Amino acid sequence: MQRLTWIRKKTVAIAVIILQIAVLYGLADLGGLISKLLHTPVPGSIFGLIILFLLLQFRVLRLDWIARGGDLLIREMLLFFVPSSVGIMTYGHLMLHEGLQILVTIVCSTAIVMLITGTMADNIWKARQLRRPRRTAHEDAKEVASW
Amino acid sequence: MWLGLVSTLICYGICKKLYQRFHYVVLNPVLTCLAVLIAFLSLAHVSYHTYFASGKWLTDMLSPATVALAIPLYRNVHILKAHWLEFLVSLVSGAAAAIVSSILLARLMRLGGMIETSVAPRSVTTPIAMDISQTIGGIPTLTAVFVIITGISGVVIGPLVIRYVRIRSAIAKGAIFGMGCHGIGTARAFEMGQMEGTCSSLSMVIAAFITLALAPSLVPLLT
Repeated sequence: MQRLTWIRKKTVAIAVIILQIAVLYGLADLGGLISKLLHTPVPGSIFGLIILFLLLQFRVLRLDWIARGGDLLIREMLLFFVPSSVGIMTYGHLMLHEGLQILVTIVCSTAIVMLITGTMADNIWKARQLRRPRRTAHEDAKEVASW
Repeated sequence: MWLGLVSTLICYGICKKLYQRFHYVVLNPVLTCLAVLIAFLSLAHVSYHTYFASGKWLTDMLSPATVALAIPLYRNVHILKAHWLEFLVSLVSGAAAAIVSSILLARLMRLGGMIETSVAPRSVTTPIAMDISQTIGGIPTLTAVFVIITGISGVVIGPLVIRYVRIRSAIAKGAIFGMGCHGIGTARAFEMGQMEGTCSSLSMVIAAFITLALAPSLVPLLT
């Protein structure tokens, strides 16, 4: 009996997640439509993101109506990268001949980007920190909403 | 028919468990999963075309996943309001640096025009990078590969940068990962702490916006 209720609960939970993902999918499609109608290079998913943010901000949608599905998608985002990356196999000869140069390019460029981004953000943070009343790391941590 | 989807799911599941168990950088789930799948497909003589027939269902999930990024944005908009200057300045310069340095280094390495354009949007999250690549005349599939390489090298480089440049604030640490290596970096930033991870996901979204705005005008100037 207990096992049956457990199964029922699990089924409901999965159905809820699928429904929530369907809503997000719908928003992405809506964004795609807008992108097509406006003839912009801005991808539809970005319009979808903006629409969802506004719907949440103006309380048309409640966070708990989409949070479970949305958090799942974000948590497993790496999985969705895999199939298109497997496409690297169709560029086998390119990777064989120029793979090392590509790797050097990307590694150096990433290091440059991180150095610039990090020093900029950290220095501005320090400068503004001096002007603001003193805060502790503990207070900063409290800012983070629970995930 | 189901081969692409099923093999990817199984392989990813195992690789993820492996990473959670040992936490070595080289065991990054995307990297190991990719290596195993490619080895499997070539040994079994399955073409990428056949694999992608059902594998693309997973790729299709990238656009709702991108839409879902509105959720961390909404939850943490107060952090953005408090530290907007840090995010704005560091991410605009980071995004510009990513485009310019990618193209110039690719030229220095004599990689050819097609690769130069395809490598330019590499530091933003895949779905948006592929769209940008399409817009500026690159090859989206190639861009997807560069995005993954960026993500994995960023996970290695990020902690080194933080240590040697002595980055203190969680905001800067998050911005480094979010700007430098998108979703893969954000997963790593969450290992450092909630604030770092949250800042990283914010940075990832904003970096995508900024790159989207900068790339179409910046890339033609350089190529």
